[in-house]
This record gives sequence, structure tokens and C-alpha cells, in this order.
Amino acid sequence: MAKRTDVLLGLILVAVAGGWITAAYLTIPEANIPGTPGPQAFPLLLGLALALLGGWLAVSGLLHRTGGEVAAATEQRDPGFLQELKVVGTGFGLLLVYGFGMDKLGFLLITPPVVIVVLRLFFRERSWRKILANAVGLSIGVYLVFDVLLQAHLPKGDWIQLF
Amino acid sequence: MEALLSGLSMAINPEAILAVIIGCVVGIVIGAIPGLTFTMGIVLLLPLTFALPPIPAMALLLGVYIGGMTGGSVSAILLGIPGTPSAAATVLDGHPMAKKGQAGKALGMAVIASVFGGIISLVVMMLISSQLANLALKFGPAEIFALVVFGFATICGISESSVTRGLIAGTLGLMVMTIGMDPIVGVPRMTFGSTDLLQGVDLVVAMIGMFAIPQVFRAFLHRDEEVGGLDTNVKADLPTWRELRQNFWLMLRCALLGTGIGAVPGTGGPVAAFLAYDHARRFSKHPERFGSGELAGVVGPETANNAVTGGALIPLLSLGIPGDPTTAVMMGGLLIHGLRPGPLLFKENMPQVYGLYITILLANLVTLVVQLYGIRFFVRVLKLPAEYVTTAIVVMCGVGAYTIRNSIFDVYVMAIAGLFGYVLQRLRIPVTPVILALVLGVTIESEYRRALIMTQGSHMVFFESVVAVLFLGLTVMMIGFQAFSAMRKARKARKARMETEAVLSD
Repeated sequence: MAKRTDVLLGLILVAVAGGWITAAYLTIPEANIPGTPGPQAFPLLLGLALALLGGWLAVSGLLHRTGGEVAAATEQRDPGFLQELKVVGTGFGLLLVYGFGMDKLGFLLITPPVVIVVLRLFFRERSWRKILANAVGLSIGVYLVFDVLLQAHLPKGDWIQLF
Repeated sequence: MEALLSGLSMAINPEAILAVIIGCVVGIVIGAIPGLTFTMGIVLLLPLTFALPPIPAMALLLGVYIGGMTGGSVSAILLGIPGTPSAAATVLDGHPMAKKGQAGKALGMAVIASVFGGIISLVVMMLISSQLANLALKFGPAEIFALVVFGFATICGISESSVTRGLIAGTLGLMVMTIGMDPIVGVPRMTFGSTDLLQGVDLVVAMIGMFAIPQVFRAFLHRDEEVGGLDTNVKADLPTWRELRQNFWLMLRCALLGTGIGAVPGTGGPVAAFLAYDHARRFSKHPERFGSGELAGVVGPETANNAVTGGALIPLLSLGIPGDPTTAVMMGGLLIHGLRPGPLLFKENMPQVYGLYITILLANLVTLVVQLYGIRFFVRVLKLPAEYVTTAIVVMCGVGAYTIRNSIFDVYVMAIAGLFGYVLQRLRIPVTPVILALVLGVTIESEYRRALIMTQGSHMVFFESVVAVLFLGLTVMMIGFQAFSAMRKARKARKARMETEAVLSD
């Protein structure tokens, strides 16, 4: 039985490489010094390299043979896969919301809710005292270090400018 | 002499000394906590250094590096879990020593050995780096291209999963590197009309995402795992003179071993530590005692893994080639503060180079004092709940990504890089080559195209230079050798499987 993950990954990489080569060919302008590689050359070369490597991965996955029962067991979907997808997807979404919130509401307004969500949703922390202490303490602490001490100027927000 | 005095004044002032102390403390804490890496610590602290002058900024980062490498021994000895991969070999005899009630001796000897290794590697670095830089000054674009390709390909080829996956990682990283403005003619590439992408993907933002965010996701997924069985009532005991005398030559040999390993791209602390452990066992009068709490089993790996810090800085400072993720991050730090690593650093910024040397010495000494006398505090840190540490990391990632260029777009890039890094790790594609591609990719492409511009497009320029041919040849040989070894290993595994199947079917 073939190594299914390698075959699938290899094919995905070939598809990505195909898209990349197409995009590089169509969008990068020609502006090279005559006789030398221009700005398109490296991206096209890299796309080709990825296609070859992806193809090789898929082929070596097809050629890989394992014992039948063992392969069946290992090829089954990991029972935690959906849970992992849910947690990682939600975590990723939270980071995007954090970025959006920093832009529109500012660091000081968005950080406490994000901390609360992380502690409550991801870590199931029950003590609201600890949650709120963390949310407020971390937000103010980081603000004082970055904005006040280091003058790094954290985002104030477009919709509500708290300070 | 003037440059040395100038470097001394940059490194010995209240701001720089405070930065070293803070860096060492943070590094020891991060190094001691299993699951956190000092590379991630350096990446998260990098934005904090923007307001600092170059040497205090690097003092903070070097403090984290050296402190972190030493701090890994704390949980290795007390918990049997290495705080950093480089401390994995320390577990073998360090934890048995702790079980026998000798935790204090193991911790004390570990820090002495670490600092000894760090200082020896600093001396070697001082002797070799400038010579190497002088040699590299004679290199043209073809030689620089070949050298950087060799360093980069070595790291892609020496991948824990497979050569193919390592090369895929490197290629993906180079593709990300091309996003933005072309380095030679200045036209936009793969930006799709976005003004945010014109500046490309920032190296530090990508590093924050790819090192820290996968760690955050793993903490979300494994929230119920706890670390237990920790005795917090422990202190580090200084070794006796007899113990120091008995282990002195072992420490010297392992320090030189670690320095040499560190100087080779793609290796690093874990390799040095295990090789040193093996060396210590072979040359011991009582090799049978190893694994059950032998002091030399702690001395060897701890000396070697800290010696790696100086060794890894040799190719970084003299050639501009980082050999591992940590030195890649350091390179980012140097570049942000206007110090371009490479041969010209020794020509144009010699006072700053001396400042760095003195800072490294200070960091080793501060680590010695802090870890010896602060061990009780660091041990308590091991009991910090993961949820509070993870939450702080999430906030630091957001803030760190934003403050690089005051751009919210970078926060989104950090999140995407984090998801990308996590997916890569799950697919057993290494992250290190991706980061190194972002660091070295511009040099690879620019020097390649410059070499061709100088010769009106003739590729013979790469074959007319002995140095270029040597490094390109080594690159091909190295990748070929790795691929051949992998194929041989797969063939052996297939043969063993077929024999097992034949036996089972009988």
C-alpha cells in the first residue's frame, strides 16, 4: 500500500508549483539586462524545482510498500484530527481577529478580550478572578513596557482612540 | 587598540550590562521550561531591542542565547525532560544523579562546564573569525553564491525527516523570499497589486509566526498535560577542586568539539551534546557507570552544547551564513541594528565586533552567577501554569509582529506564517530551511545574477573559480550522499519488512 500522505502532499505541491509558475509568468514584468536572468527567472526556477520535488515525493510515496495490516492501521485518520482542525482553526481565527481588533479598537481594548478567550475557551480556566487579573495585568504590563518605556507606540485603533 | 577600547565602552556601560543580565535571566527561564525554546525567546524579544543601541540590543539577545543553552540543564537534571533539545544528553546521567540525591552537584557542575565551554569557544571565535573574514573579502559574487548555496543546501540536506522534505522546505522558503521588489531591477514580484506586499515578507515577522505560533497551537491541544514530581527545594553546589581537576581535560576536549560542530551549518547543540557524551564515556575509566549518574556524563554534553554558541557565531559573523535557526534570528537582529554580518563587518565595524566579544564573555559570567545563586527561583518557574505562559506568548507575538514596521498587515502575516509553520511541522517538513531561505535567499539570487551581469550572462564564471567549483561540488556531493544514504536505509527497511512478511505467512 502506498504512503497516502506523501502522494497527496506531492500532488498538492505540484499543483501549487503550477499555480506559482503561471502567476510568475503572467504577473512579473520583463525588465532584465540583456543576456542575464531577469526578475522572472528565479521564481520560475523555484516553481519548477517545487514541481519536481513534489512529483518525486508523490512517486516515492507510490513506490513505498508497507505490510497490509500495519498500513491499514496507520492509514486510518487520526481520531483527534477533527479536534485538531477545530482547535488550530479557531486559534488561527483568533489571531486574525486580534490583528483586526488592534487595527480598529487599539491594543488596550482588544487584548483583554483575547486573553479572556484564550484562557476560558482554550484552557478552560474556571476562576474569573485569575482570568480578569491576567487579562488586565498582561495588557497594561505590555503597554507600559512597549508604549511607555520603549516608545514603540502600540496601535490606538481607528474606531475608538482610547489614549 | 582604539577599536578595542571603543568596543569596551560600548559593552561595559549600565545599559549594556543591564541588557545582558535581563537576557541571561530570561534565557535561563525559557531554557528551563520544556516546550519553550530560546530561539523563540530571542524572536519575541527582538522587537524590544528596537529602541536600544546595537551592542546593548545584541547583549539582550546573546544573553538569552547563552542563558537559554545553560538553562536547559535545569529541567534535564531535575525532571528528566530536557528544557532544550541541546540538553537531551544531559538527561542520561543528570537525572539519575538527581534521583540519587545529587541534584545540587549535577546542577553546579553543569553550569561550570557550560560557562567553560562558552568561554573556550569565544577564544576560538576571536582567533578564527577575523582570519576567515579576511579570506572571504577576496571572494567575488560567484564565490559568495557558491558558499551560501553550500551552507543553505547543507541545512536542507541534513533534515531529520528526509532530504526531499528538507529541499521542499528550502524551495518554499525561497519562493516566499521572492515576494516583494526584485533586488536588482526593482520591479514588483508576486505582489498582485498589493502595496503591503511590496516590502515582502519581513524576516522577523515570519520567524515570530513560524517558531512561536505552532508552540501556541500545541499548548492549546495538549492543555491537560502537566509536569510533575519536581522538588523545588534544591540549590546548585559548586564542584570540589578535585572534581574540577578530574574533569578539566574532558571539558577542554568537549569545548573544542562543540566549537567545531557549531561552526558547521546544520548541526548544533544536540549533535555536539551527544557526540561529547559518547566521547566522555569512551575515554572514561568507568564507562559502565554512565547512565546511572556519572558526573562526566553531565560535564561532556553541557560543555559541548555551550561551546556551540561561539562556534555557530564564527560563520555568521565572518561569512554572514547562519548555521542554525538561532543564529538566523541573531542575523536578523544584527541587520535591524545596522550591522551586516560578513567579511565587511570586520573591516568597517571592528569596534562593534569587539563589543560583541566582550558581551559574550559577560553573558557567560552573568549566567554562571545567576544560575548558581538563582537556581531556587528558576526551579519554581518550572511550575508556572502553561496557560499563563501561552497567553503571554500570544500577546507578545501580536505586539512583536506589529512593532517591526508599525503595520497591522504584519500581524496577519505572522498569523499566516504561524499556521504555515504548524502545517509544515505536522507534515514532517522542517521549518529551519524555510527561515534560512528567507535569510540567505536574497544573497543567493543577487550574487548569482551579479556574477552573470559581470560576465554578460556567461555561466563559466562559476566554473573558472576554484573556490566556487569547490563549494558547488561539495553541495552536489553532500546532497547526493544524503539521498544515497536515505535510499539505502529505505531499501534495508523494505528488505526487513519482506522477510518479516515471509516469516509470518509461513
